Amino acid sequence: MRACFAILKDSFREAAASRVLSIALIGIVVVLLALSPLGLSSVPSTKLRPFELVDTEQFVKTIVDGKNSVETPAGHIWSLMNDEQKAAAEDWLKPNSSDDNARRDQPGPPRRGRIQGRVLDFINGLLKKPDFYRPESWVSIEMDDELRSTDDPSMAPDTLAVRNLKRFALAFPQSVNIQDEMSLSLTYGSITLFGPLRAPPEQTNKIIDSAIIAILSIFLGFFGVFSSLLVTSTIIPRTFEPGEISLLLSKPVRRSVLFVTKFIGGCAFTLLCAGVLVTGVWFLLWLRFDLWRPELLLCIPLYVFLFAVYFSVSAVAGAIWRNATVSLILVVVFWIVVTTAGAIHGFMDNIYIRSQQIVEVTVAGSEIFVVDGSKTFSRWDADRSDWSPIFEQTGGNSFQQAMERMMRSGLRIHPVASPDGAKIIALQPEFSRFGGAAPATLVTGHKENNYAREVESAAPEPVFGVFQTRSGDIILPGTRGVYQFAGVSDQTRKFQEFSRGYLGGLFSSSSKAFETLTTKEMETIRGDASVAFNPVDDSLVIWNNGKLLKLVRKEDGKYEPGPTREFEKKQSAIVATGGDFILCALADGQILALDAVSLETIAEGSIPKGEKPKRAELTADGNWGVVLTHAGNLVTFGGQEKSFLPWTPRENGTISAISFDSEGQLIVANGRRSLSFYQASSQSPVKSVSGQVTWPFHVYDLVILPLYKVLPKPSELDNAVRYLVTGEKSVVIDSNQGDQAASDSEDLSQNRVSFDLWSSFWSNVGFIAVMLTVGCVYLMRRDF
Amino acid sequence: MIDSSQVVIETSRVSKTYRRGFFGKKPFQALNDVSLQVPKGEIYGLLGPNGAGKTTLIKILLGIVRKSGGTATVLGHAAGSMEARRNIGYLPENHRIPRHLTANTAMEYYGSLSGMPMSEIRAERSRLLDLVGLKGREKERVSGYSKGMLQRLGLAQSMLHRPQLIILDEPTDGVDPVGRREIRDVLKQLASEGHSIFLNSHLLQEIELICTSVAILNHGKLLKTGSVKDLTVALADSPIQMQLTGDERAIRNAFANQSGVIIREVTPGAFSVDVRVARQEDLDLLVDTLRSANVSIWRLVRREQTLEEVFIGIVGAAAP
Repeated sequence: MRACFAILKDSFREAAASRVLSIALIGIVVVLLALSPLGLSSVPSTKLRPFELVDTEQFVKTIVDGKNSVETPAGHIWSLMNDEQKAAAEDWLKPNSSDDNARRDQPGPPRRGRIQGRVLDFINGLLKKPDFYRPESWVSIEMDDELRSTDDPSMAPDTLAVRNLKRFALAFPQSVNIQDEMSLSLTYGSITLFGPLRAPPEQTNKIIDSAIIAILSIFLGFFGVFSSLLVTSTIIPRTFEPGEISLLLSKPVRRSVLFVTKFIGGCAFTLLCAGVLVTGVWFLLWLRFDLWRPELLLCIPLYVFLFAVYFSVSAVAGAIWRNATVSLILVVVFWIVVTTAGAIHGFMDNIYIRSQQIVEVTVAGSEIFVVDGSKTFSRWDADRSDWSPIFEQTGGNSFQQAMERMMRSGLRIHPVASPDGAKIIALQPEFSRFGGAAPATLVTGHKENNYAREVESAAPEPVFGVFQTRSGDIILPGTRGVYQFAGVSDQTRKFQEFSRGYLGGLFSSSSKAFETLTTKEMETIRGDASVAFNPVDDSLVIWNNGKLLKLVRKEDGKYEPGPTREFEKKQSAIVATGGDFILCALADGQILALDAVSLETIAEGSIPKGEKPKRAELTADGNWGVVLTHAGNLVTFGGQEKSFLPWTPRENGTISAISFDSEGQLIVANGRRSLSFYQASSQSPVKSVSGQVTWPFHVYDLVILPLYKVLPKPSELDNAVRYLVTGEKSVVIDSNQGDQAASDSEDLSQNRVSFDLWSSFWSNVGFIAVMLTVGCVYLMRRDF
Repeated sequence: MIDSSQVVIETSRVSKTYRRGFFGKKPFQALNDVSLQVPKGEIYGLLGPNGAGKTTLIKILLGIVRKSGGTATVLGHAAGSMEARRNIGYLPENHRIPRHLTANTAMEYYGSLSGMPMSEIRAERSRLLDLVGLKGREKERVSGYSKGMLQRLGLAQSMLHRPQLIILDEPTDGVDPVGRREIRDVLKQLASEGHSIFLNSHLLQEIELICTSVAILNHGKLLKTGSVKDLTVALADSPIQMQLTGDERAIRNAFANQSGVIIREVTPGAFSVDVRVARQEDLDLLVDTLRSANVSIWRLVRREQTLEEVFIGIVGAAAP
């Protein structure tokens, strides 16, 4: 042991004597010192931020509608606008003869964002003006006495803006949602660099997390590791030079111990660099950003481990060839090999395998419909024992269709089928050819037409899904209301088909196709909300950033707000409802089973640590519920037991889609092209259907995947850093947010790539162990 | 045969064959049935021309090279074993001490590798560095040391853990004459303290000066072992040196039948003669002839051989 310590100590001495280490350490200290004045200061908001103007159109409409009533805030603000602004506001709201959706999609940058920016600039300009607040105009607005009092003319502009912003928010509650009265500014010493930040505080933390990951990945993951390799590549070759090794081997030290200890000692360089940088960042976050993140310190051993993977190659090469240049060349070759293997695996996994795996399942009668990752609809053909594509997209050439499918890869289709399977309905995600996304198109297919795709109409706004009631009504909950599809004439349908194919989505929605089932007072739903439909009573359950809202359907078919429940955690969730239950799978991994009437919590469960929920489903009677994670794991809830069950299907870990059929059987897709049916009562497998898999699947399963598993995955250690920093084991890979409302949290239903942290960890550990064993065996058999 | 308890190194028919060529198909016999006994407490020299197998034998004794056949023990343990290495101090030829170390830290490093506690190392190192003449330079990085200083430091580290056996491979290589003398004195002192020293050097005069016994190795074969005294003793065919006075013609006539005779006139009438006469009867006859010719014999001596002469004689005789 004394000898081991001596070798380790010598390695530290060697690292410390290295000029590169001194330069690296000085560089790190300089960077840390340069970053140290950075900080966040919290000040009262003086500006309206983009995410706080939740409904620009509603706001403009309110202003225009109130232009004749100067005794209201809207009328007063109208009076403060110049002629050009007034004309622009009226022009934007001007209805189009054929399609009111046209105003959203104009050539150039998405007009929605452009108009919102102009409105924000206008409002923020007004907030600092003394004439913004006119007491007579705010008479009908509930305010405290302090806000109602007249402003002192000598008041500082910022103080005035703070007061006016509060008044403004109170005057337009439908359009403005001030989430935090404080806003953050990025400061450098006493200088404000940016501020107030446009992102809300919780997103600011995410930005900081991303910055930390970027800093660590660049400085440690790349420069740190490769500069360490540059310095340490000489350690082993030099040790095994004839003059030095003879002296060392004459000492009572085993060759294997000498080699392994030299290897460990070689990691000293990275340990020092990573230690200084990570500790420095950790201190800065603590002292300057008030973020206490002790888990960040785990990045130190993590980066040493990353370095060790590469250094093991360098060490073995150094022992065999005793040449630092050869060692470095082989490390670069190794890096190319593992990077190429990772790239091929990633390409196959993301481009082919994911596009072919079943992502949505619907069963109706004897028909089984699935949607794969490429958004291709298929129906189970029992005669062929394979999936037959149906619902083919029409319009445009094949290249255009392929491109559209690729762009839609992150968006859900939400297929539903009539109980007898004779009709399928789905949402076809759309995007404007001029940039940005457009509301989805409602499409249908009928059995008698072999489920040929028929375009019905573009949704009136971004919607969260399509549901079919027991009576056959097609319900589409959106961000500003709930809509029922009323049908379109053949003439209108033909025009819309033409519009979709040649005009990039312009004029594609018919104002008559949808009936609004909610009142204007319904609160705006955020784009990352989750909506579930209960087929028993046609009610809708909405999770909207920590608030659970139930919309109850009245006898006249309209929806009205039902019970609500506010949760402490303002986060995203996936909800499902059926029978007497509601399942809420929260972004932090907690699952709540709630009573569908009282919204009280009945049971609590959790998904595997670090994973995110992807789908949640409940049977119509509520007896069985499941939550699927992005890592393919399932958590089950028993309605009769009113608790979460320990059972998981055999496909657990690879599941890509879940559904229940009308008999309450659970259907799980195995991550390929097969489905398994499980009985509710016994949770035993009932049957399965397996589509034929093409040769790339075999190549992937038999060659690429085993190779990828065996080869080390040093680059995936960045994911471990992400996990340490953010606590997340998956990340969104498709950011097609569509035309959803501005979101400061995450849409859990989007495609995510999951990190198999332990798999990459063990493959790297295995690789290091193999390399060190090879090195030891070689040295033990070699004469020096 | 020496009592095994009094032997520090014992090899029996040790052989080593290296494999050369890309596929290792060309064998090269570096050692061939070397059997050797090194007595305890002696300074034992290992002689041989370049490529004789001296370093290979030393490396086998230390376990740095694996032998192909035979047995070898060092201090009663299998050669190369941890037990054996624990009590060996070694100074390799052309050794390299990491350049980032100082003399002090090098001593700490090698002492720790030998299993010494740091306190003991610190207590011992200053004495040894003083002994080898590195006092005052112990805090300097070895990257600034001369070859001779590195040799001294190498010697100091080999003695640090007070080993029973010290194996030195060319210890005075690169050291100036004064330094060589100092190293010789150190080795003699160590031997007097009971340490056994196994010395490999090209410098035969040095070996002759300090070694008590030697082994001569050539082409992997052990040609000769024995004490320096025995090897250099006057042999029957050693040259004879004579100093004579008398008539030059008579002297030359007396040696007329001898081959290889060298006659030099030192002063008028006085001559120095070198002659090689193997048989005593022939020498007696020669003396009688000189005396009968009235030649006076002032001096007649059979000269001892130097180790170099012995070495060259043995190695030359064994040459194919």
